[in-house]
Amino acid sequence: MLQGKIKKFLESETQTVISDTGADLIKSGVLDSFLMIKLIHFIELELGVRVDMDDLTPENFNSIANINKVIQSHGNTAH
Amino acid sequence: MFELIQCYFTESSKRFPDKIAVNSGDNSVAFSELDEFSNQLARVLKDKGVKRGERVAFCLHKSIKSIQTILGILKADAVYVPLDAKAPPARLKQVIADAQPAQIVCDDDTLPLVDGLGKTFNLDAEESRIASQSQSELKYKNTSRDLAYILYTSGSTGQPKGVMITHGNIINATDWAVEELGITSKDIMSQHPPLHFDLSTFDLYCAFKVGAALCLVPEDLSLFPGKLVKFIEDKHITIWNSVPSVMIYMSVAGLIKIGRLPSVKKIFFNGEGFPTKFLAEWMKMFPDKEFVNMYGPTETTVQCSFYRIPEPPKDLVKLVPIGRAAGGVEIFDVDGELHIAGKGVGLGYWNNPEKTAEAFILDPRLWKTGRVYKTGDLVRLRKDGNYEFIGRKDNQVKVYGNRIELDDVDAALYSLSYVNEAATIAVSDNDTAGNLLVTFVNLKLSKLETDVKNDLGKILPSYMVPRRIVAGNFLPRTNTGKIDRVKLKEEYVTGKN
Repeated sequence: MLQGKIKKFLESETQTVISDTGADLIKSGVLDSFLMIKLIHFIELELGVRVDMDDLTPENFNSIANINKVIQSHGNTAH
Repeated sequence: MFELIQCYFTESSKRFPDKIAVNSGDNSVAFSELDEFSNQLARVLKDKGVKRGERVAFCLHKSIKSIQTILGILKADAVYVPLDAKAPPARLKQVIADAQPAQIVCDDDTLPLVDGLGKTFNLDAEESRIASQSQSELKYKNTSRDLAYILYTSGSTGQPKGVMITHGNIINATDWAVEELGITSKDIMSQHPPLHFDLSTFDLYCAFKVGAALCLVPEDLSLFPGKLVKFIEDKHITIWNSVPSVMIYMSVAGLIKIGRLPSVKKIFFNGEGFPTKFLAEWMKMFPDKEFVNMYGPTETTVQCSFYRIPEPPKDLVKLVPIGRAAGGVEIFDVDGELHIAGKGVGLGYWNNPEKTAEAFILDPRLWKTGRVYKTGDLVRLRKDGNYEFIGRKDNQVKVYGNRIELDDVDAALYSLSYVNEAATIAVSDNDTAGNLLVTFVNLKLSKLETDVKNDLGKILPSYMVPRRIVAGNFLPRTNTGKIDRVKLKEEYVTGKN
């Protein structure tokens, strides 16, 4: 569910189809700092998950699948 | 007094042989080591036939190797031309064809990017040959009037322009900066901007001159503000120099808090206006740090004016002034357009006498001689003697501090066979207060926005690819028949498009 929402958000922002949720969004240049800010806002405001700046690392945020994973892990530990 | 910028480095290496010169995050190298490595590289380049005044390009990811390469090229009496390893092949090809480098330095990683575009020199393949050279100092033929580097910036016709800067230009800028800004060998300076961006020369040559450590900020960290702030803290960086966008990003991410960045004493920013509400936030959080706005086009060597910001600005809309002239430089306005004279003025555009003659003109002031650079920046002189930036005379904009001619983006669009008409504008992004590009097009056949962007990505660096491409049937015209960019912008901002 969440993964689909993130994918849809990124696709609508970049107007590109991201077919592979494992694709590296940093290497391919899809994620730049403008979009990163928008993505964080989206995750916090629309998905209601607080993004911890310590989680915002190249390993966690380089693909839709990895972004999803880190958000899920936060969802589980949320009170 | 030195004549050549590599002598800054060699002199520091004599004073502080074992001190760290460059720290790349994972690795570091001492002054004496890097001085010797670069002597060896210079010898191999000369063996390969590189002659005084010839251009040597390099395409490398930011690393100790890239700093060694800059020094090696300078020590071979050649002119360095940094290439953007992230630029698409078509752009690299344009720059290389224009610069006509004698060699293109690369490594195993970047060889595929430049293979076939000229004579390549692979540092990895040449490793043992470089290591077998003498490490002793070389004798230089260059003088302060010779070129040190050529940096390419966006040009309005779709062809990047190579700005020619001499050793003397850089020495003037560096000697002034070190003195005025109080940079010492105890400092640890950040090296954030890419090496093909002229802001980087501030970090390099100030650090080389005083024997400060240069800390290379990994390129990826710009996307990860939490990591970036931690990096600055872990490396005990004392001087931060970057475009404002990066600092805004740290603000927006909520990281600018009392107690963070304790080692940083001075913060310099350059390349674009710093949206004042963010600047005020930084200054309120860090009342003990010094904030200096630096201004200067690539054509006049990093900075030609500066403004030390006395207190957090109260007016959150107006940009802080670009200030007064730096040492050895004069700034003045002619009908509101800023002109720059003095020792920072470069030699013009490589291989482009026409564009050079347009922008580097004879000093228009009475009793003055020499060339001055017409910046195209519109300014206002305040009563206290500081200049304020008002806007541009032409279609040049800044995105993340990168200088972009909107006509350059349009030229790339017109090169696509299915584009009838194109007009690019810059609009302000609400979240970051920075610029983003929007292009309006009239297409011969219908195309997905994605496809147009992909095609542009093959011609332009990613920061020049517009965020939105809006297709329509016709573009509004002014009464002189030009595409009406003002109207397009109004319509876009008010949501009509």
